[in-house]
Amino acid sequence: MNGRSRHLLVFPAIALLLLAACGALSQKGGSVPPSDGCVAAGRLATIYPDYVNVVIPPNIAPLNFRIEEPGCRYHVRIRSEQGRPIQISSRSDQIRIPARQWRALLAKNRGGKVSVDVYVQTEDKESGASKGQPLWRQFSSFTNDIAADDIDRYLVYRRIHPAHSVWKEMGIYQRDLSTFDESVVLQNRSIAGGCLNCHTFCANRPDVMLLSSRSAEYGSAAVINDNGKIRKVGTKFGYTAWHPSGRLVTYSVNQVVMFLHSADREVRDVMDLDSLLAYYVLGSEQVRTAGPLARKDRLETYPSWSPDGKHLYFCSAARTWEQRNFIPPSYDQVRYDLVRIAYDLEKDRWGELETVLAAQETGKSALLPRVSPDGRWLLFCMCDYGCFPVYQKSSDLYLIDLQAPPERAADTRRRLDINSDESESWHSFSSNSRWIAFSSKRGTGLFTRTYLSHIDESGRAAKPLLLPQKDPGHYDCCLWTYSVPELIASPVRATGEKLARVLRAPEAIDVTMPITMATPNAGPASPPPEPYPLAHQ
Amino acid sequence: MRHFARKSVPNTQTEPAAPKSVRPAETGGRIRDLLFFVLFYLYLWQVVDLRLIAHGAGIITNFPAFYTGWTYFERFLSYPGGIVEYVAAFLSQLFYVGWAGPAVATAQVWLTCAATDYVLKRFGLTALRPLRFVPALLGLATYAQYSFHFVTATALTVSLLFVCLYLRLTGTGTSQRKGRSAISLSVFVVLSVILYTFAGGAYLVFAALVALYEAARRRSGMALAYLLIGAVLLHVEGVLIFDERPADAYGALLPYPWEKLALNQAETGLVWAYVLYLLLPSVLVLAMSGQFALARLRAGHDTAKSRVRERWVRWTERHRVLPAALKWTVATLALAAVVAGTAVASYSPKRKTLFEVDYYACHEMWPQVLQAARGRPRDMMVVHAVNRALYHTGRLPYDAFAHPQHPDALLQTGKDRSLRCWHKFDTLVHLGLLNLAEKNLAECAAVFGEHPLILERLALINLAKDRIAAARIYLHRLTKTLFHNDWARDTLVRLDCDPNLTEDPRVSHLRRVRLNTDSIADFYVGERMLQALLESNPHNRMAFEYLTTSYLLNRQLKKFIDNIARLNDFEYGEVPRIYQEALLIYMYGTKQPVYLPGRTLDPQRRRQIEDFSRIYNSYGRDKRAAIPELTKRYSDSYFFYHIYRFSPGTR
Repeated sequence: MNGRSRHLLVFPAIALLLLAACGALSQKGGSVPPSDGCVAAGRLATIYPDYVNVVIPPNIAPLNFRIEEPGCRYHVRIRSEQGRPIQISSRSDQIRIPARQWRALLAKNRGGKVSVDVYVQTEDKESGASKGQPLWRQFSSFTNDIAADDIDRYLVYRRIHPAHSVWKEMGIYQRDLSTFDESVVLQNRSIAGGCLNCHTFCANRPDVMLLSSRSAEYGSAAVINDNGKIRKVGTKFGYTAWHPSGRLVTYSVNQVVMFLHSADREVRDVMDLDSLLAYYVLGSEQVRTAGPLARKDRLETYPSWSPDGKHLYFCSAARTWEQRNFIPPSYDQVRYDLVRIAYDLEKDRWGELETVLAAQETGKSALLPRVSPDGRWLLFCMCDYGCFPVYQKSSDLYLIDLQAPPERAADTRRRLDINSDESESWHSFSSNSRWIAFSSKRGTGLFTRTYLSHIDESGRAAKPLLLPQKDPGHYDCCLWTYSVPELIASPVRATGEKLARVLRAPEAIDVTMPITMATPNAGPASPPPEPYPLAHQ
Repeated sequence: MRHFARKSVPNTQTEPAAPKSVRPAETGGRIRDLLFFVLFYLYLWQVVDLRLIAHGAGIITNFPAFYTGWTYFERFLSYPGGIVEYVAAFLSQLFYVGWAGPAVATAQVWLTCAATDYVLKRFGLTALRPLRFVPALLGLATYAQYSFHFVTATALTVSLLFVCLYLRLTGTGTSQRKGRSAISLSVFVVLSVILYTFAGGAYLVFAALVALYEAARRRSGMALAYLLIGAVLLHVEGVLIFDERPADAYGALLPYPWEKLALNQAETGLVWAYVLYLLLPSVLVLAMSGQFALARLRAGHDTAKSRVRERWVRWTERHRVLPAALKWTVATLALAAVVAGTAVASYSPKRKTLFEVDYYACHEMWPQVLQAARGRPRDMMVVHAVNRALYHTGRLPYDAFAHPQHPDALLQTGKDRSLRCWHKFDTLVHLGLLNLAEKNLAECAAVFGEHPLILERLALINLAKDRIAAARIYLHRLTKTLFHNDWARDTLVRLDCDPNLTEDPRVSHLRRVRLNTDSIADFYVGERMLQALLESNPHNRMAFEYLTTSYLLNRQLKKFIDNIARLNDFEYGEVPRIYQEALLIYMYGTKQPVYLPGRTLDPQRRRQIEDFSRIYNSYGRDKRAAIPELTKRYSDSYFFYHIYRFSPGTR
């Protein structure tokens, strides 16, 4: 290397040093508040996201936040019983917590508490300081609980703009919850802008997964990853649920129609004009259904297996109209029961339908059942009507204790405290049953965000925390919606390229539906549906 | 072939120094080039007005949005060509500034021309150097037709610059050394990786040109190797590393992205972009083929052909001895003629009118809308904008039929999923059909990206729907734009003081007029929506005037009469002229009186309908025959429209 080249290397080095110095100054630029002489604000500082009095997963990424208090310098101390406190000083109101120190603090205090002290320096004339005299204000500290239970480290969700019937960009992404790393599972640009949806995992395992796609160019199909063996099934999968054995996957076939409200707060609405449940048996390459899963007079959807694989939970509503091409005037009277049916995997035999929760009893539509992996809790949402809770402001999360005697199970139903005035939906359990991730439109009423909440042994859900982002202002101008958050224990290792290649390939497992639709439009309308026997009858 | 190779790709070391007498010619050429690009710039600035293209508002759908911040930049790193796309998106924002956009466009075109010139020179095709102006002419034609291909053109420019870099690095002394093939290959691979990452599919032009260059240097093996490496690189980097599907891996930033094919939205002027991409490779292939054929001819002893060749040589020599000044003048005049021809032939004043009307309508500059509309009065979107301008200037019930009309132009609900011309959705907002507007604009945002004009409207709708937090997100997003952040910042500041924006007159007005009775059946049914608006707020004047105008346009006089009593809900000093004409037609037609409490009809109107009838009858009720005379006197009246179902548009 000649002298000139060496000189050329000096400039980037100097630039790097300057950048590092600037970075250090921006974080450490402010002086630390004095141990005495701070004025007590007498209240909590307003911070965003609201990470006050929440339960934190011990393996979560730093809960970076913004202090929404006027000031010229900010100082935050994060302390716990064990370990050194984290001190962050900044001229900016954005508090970015050093990841390494954060992880160490949480690891040492698993099951304990973490307290946060917030100081803001202002030039506050009202507080008695002379003009230009800086003044530190100390806000009341807040304490968060660190759970003893880890949350599954990865979260898979769909990211899309709030769309109606057309879209351009969407993708399935996975987020490492212990860091801020987000990676692509599959983007729709890989399949010529088609629709991607309903990513489903078998018992929080990414090596057994299913992902549906609809594309004008490549058709409707699903890609199944069966322990690394990736195949394309040439049929349209609706809402999907893996049997815990991983040997079959149950799915709904929906004749969905979107319609629009001229004056409601939410423009969009969706209903199934017809639907049924079917199941695809891996290895046999067959799609099957059964009478109770595809009744002519009912709409069946949202399958979900119990962790022992002995019961399939799903939602079912009476179909009281004949036409399948028009939205019935009674669309807002369609309410789904929560039902279940026994299943013997070895004999491929279905039992009798049982009603877990009748819409007639609740006056609401019960949707999206999910059983916790320990089999204890049945988490679902209920809204005023219909089958699509994310468009229903009234949609809230409810929990049923499945350990209660069957006759009392419905009575254990309770609305979780974590609900908001806006829609809550698309929930999933972590593999240890202690955490749920769910979608909520709280705050905006329009953009769906992902929240995490701890569920204790008694089924009490802790105040949810917004999925943390590296930039505390990330959600301020984020026009994406994050939907269908699914917790998984390890990352999806199938590359997007591989998944896309399989979806694009003409080769697909050819399956034929045993019937054309749940309710073949032949003959007169069915008689009014009879109620199912209740579970305890 | 040997002869061709020696002549076409001269060795820079052995190339004779240019004679001093060439220098004045070079200077003259530079002056001509300078003059050319100055005029190019002035044409774009003063005639085309690139602000109209930047505004586009749904007519041009591929104009990129640009937001500051890492998060926005990050997404461009995830696919080949993203960097150039990002830079081009940034530069495109300067199109919003009257003088800056033309400067950017001129600079980009100049770079392309300069690179083209350099490539032609390095291929020894000096006789073809005038072709260096072709990219500029294509650019001129593109902008004059109000189409936008700046992003893909920038990708090509970058690709050509890389070609120049390759020629520079491999064509100098280093290439003469032992092992020059290895050096060339290394340079090619390194540049390929960088270029493909930066410019995506435009890399194909680079690969093709350098392969041609190597073929011209009698290194056919290298040329084939380059093509092979290029294809493999595209697959490895594009498909395997960037996870692109093959069509996108090879086609990113080329002028045929799948989005356009999928949405069936072929952009105007796409053909110019194709020509731009194919220009240099095809010229070089043709020239090389021609020279190859010539060399073969020379190798033979065809005396007749030799004579032709000798004549050609003599002719060119004669031209060489032309005085430099005359030669410069002739060449400049020829260029000026071609440029003027291109400018005149490609310039589309009608399309400009569409853009102007759209621009003024979006900025609520109503007199300017009416003025600009004269250039293309019968376009549906222009008619739509004119009606809104007439409403806002208080002239809809008076002058509606002084302009061309069409029943379908009055209210564009977006049921047809046509997401172009976003000002039509402003009409929905102003009427109070917020959900209908929100649905259409949300789809625009989903399809065309986060265009600031769309976000502004979605923010306003959410403010009017009391979804303040959602509006804040749009407003915060807008603060990250370069030229659309003033209103957003101002609104955010006002929201801090007035959390529901109750003091904002525009938001308050929208809250007053917005539809508040929900229905799923009437979503796209204009008439029922307008009726529902009036039921929600009987003082919604715009809904009233649109409803009555709709009835008049569809000649539904009974419905018009049923609603005319609403006139007293508004502060009209008199019964508007067109309404009087419609009332008279109804009364004369049905022989039934229409009672309007507290209102009287102008006797002048009665005389006019009688005069109109007289003229009409004087032609034996022959519509066609009566047209000339009726047009002279009554072309702006409803009498005329009711009979003929069109309005000639006298204004």
